[in-house]
Amino acid sequence: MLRVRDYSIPKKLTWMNMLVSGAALVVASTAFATYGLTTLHQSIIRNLTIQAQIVGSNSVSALLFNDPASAEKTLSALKASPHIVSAGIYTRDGEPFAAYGRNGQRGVLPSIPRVQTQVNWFSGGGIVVALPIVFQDGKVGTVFIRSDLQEMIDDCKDML
Amino acid sequence: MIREFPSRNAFSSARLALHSRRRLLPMLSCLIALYALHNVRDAEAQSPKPTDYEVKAAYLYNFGRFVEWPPRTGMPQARSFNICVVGQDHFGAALNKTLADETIAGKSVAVKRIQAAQEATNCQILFISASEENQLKQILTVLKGSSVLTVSDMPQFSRQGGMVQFILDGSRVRFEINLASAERAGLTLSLELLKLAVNVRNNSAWGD
Repeated sequence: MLRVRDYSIPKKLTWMNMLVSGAALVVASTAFATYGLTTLHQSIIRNLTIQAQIVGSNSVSALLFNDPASAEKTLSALKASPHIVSAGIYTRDGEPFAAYGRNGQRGVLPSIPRVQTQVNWFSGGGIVVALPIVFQDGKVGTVFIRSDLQEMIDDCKDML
Repeated sequence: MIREFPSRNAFSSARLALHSRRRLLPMLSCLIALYALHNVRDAEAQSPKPTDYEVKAAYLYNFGRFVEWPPRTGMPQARSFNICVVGQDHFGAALNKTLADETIAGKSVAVKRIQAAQEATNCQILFISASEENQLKQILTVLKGSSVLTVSDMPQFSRQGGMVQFILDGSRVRFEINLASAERAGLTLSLELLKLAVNVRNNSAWGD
């Protein structure tokens, strides 16, 4: 078996160059991939937050006048966004108020923390954004939106 | 723009990092969710279903938040936001309890029980009890020209020129709006309020 010490110096130099270049490429690619995924993740959260704020501010009166049907009508506008799997509105006390499910599926609303500020987390293969619905300086409820990771998966495929 | 194509190794290591993060976050969210569920159940056990008049009291307050009153020209600005009740008071303690320490447009909310509609000109919202059904026409005539949001649960109230009429839909309290009456009084009703109304009328009172 040929050992490293038996290689000629030019060959060793070639191998060393290849190893260093390869390592640099791996580090750079990892950095690019991580940066790409992080940026996309942030962009998804930003978009979900905007949508949650729109839905939330349009559901204020429905919450204050206890009209879940009106809140569901507002939530149903989310069908324009194909990545949103489910969404829901909770009362100030954290009780489920109105729900939306993609393709008409209406699952049970998950329990969410009583958020004071915006939170987001990974859950069940998706990204969840929850934020309080505020009206005239007071919290009147909470809105949550869950998106799938299809956008991230598609982006990964593009990278490959 | 030149795009870098990472190697498979690089991508799998990125996925590994994402994977370990994915395991930690569901665990954390699960713990938080369990805590929230525990609190929600406690709250449910403590609060009984509100009565119709407790709901109506809360709605009166909410109307104040979704309606805009014109500025009082030539008159001193009121220090408080007055919600008045004329006629037999079915609210009991619910109205004062619901409106205690609340503010609307920066003014503290005051509840006033009045005997006659003439006293209502300083009120922003007037709840007309069903006991006043026979005097409704006179009450609305007295209020003509003043910016008072009239609310009642008597039948045919909005048809007769009242602005907001409570309606019972099963066990739920809902409302009907006479937009023409409100606009004539110079009130601006928020679209948010109108979209929740069971019915929005545009007829004038008694054909005038």
